[in-house]
Amino acid sequence: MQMSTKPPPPTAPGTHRPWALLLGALLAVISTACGGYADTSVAFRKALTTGRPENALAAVNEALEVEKAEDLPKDVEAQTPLLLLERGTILQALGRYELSSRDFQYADNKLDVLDLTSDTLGSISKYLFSDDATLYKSPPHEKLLINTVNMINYLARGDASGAKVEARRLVVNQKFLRDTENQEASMLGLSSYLAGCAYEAAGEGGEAMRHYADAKAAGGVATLDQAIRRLSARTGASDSRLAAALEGANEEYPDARDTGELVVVVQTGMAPYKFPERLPIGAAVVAASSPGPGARLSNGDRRRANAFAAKGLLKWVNFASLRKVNTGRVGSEQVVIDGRAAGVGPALDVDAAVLKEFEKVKATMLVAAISRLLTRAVAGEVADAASRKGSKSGLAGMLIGLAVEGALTAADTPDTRSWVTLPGRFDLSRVQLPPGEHTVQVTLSGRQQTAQVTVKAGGLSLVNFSAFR
Amino acid sequence: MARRTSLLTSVLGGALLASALFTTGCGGPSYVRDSDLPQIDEYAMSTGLDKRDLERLFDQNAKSLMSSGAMQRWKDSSRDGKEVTVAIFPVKNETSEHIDSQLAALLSKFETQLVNGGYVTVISRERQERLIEELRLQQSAAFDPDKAAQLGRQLGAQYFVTGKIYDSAEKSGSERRVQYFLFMQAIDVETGAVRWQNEANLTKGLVN
Repeated sequence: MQMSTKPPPPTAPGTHRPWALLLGALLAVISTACGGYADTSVAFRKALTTGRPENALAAVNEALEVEKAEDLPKDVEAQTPLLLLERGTILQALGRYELSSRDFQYADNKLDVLDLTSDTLGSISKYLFSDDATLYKSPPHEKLLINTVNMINYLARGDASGAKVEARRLVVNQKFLRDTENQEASMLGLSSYLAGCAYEAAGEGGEAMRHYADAKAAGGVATLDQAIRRLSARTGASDSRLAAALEGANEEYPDARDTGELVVVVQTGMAPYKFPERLPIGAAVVAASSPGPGARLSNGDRRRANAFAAKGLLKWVNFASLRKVNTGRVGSEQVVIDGRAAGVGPALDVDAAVLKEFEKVKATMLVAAISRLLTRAVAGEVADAASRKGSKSGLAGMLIGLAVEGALTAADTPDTRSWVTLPGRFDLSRVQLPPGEHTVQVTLSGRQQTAQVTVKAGGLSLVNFSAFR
Repeated sequence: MARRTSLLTSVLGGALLASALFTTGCGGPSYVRDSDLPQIDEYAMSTGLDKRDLERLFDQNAKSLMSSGAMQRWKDSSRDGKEVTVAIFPVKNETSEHIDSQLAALLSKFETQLVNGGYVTVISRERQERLIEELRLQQSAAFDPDKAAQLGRQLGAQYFVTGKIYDSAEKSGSERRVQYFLFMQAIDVETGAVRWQNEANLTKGLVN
């Protein structure tokens, strides 16, 4: 029997080339696409929730590709500013305030640059390719909290001048948010309260009172009323917005001039973080079409999505959901100063702020995710049809169509970026103390932390405690 | 076989092309010195103060001080063998930028100018460290004439040179602008009278 050795049918040079190039490109996209920030942050999140902040620090350093916390990364990558915010938070929790300040300042400057950078490619990519491809522009609460937590770093070191610089940066950011977002987004009671503390520590009562009045206007924080009454009694400072709150302050605090103020900041838990999730297409279309804040799916896109879904071509969308960190500690903070229990109250519910911000952008993210899904389905169909025509092979066409769609799906990374080491909440305690050394003990979920602090007459000292779980 | 190679080449070519598109820069940064790259001092890298800004602020103030009546009197005293003693106190930072080390550099330039001028005795800033640290921690004292005069007397100074820097900082959707205003003064320790004062200003920005 003679084997037939038929030569393959002649193919025009380069017939495979466009599809081969496309396939190669997509393979490379798959190889370069990563799991997003949720993957990057998993190591240090886990370390923090299991009570190992030193391990978390090592994990962030690894993500930043540096050996130790003293090092700054040589290259500024897309995730660098966020990672520096994470490292700054961990360093603050470890009491390494100077390095923490440096990281926050560096990140603040880099995020400033990102705020002012136009991101046309990212905006297009968000609807075509991947939500993670946009430049990271921090949400309002993160912008304000950078300066807020950095004020804690400076005040904890007794550096009122540095804290005032952060207070002024806060004011610049507040005005920016008022102009670009709205009045509500520009105000955080805790931020203005700590700005007031910065000026009070510097001996500038008038300016301190102005910030305390801002804090009051933003909804107030625990200990604010005592703070403004004692400041008024000590320095005579006032603000027209606080006239009623200041009545009788001198009589209530006759010894204010001879004493000092001690502010205790307690940071607990971790803010919710975003994680990638696959949502059923039907639920996603309904959610993206329902009334609410943010972008809505157009009627045309809704029809196309439903049509593709009916054909069984679309089943789910890549999306970022929010997950609360279970720290097992709620309202268990106790502050004891020189052996006497001091009141402690809420200053900022970061959990709620993160959730609120997420609800604001959720629909826009869903619309973008569905648009990407439609793009993938159309690209798959086009690739399938074109390759069937070129190769005259139905199987090859289908495979190329699936490969194109599959590669785009694999490269579609939901945007899980956020400042994940932010505490879940801030609490405050504040007492009037005679000048001298004092001992502060804080119990968080049964674990006790102690600090020694010096209070000066007419001065303000601050001590910080952080517990991620 | 040839076609298979061609297909493989195309796939690899596509992969390389896409890798080039999706990879951010292959060449790492390298360290340089100003003699290798003279333009390194020319461009701004932040809205803080750099070498060029410090030189500009210093030049404006030094020129003003050297041509002031206060300097003329100090020169006259020096010629009469009664050289005056001057202390240099920190410049109070009232800006939205962390520029304390740059302000310290600016003061060192002032110190150098005064020392090398040869008309006044300048109290070493190293000897003032403890007092300066006290000033840093109690920033309000830096410009409180009573406290500053007291510190000047403790140091044996007849005059002290100090200053204050403010900014007007703004951020919009397309730019961040920081306008600096530096005020320098020479103050008579005994009377608290301002014997010389000058304002220098400059603007830094981050624009699209």
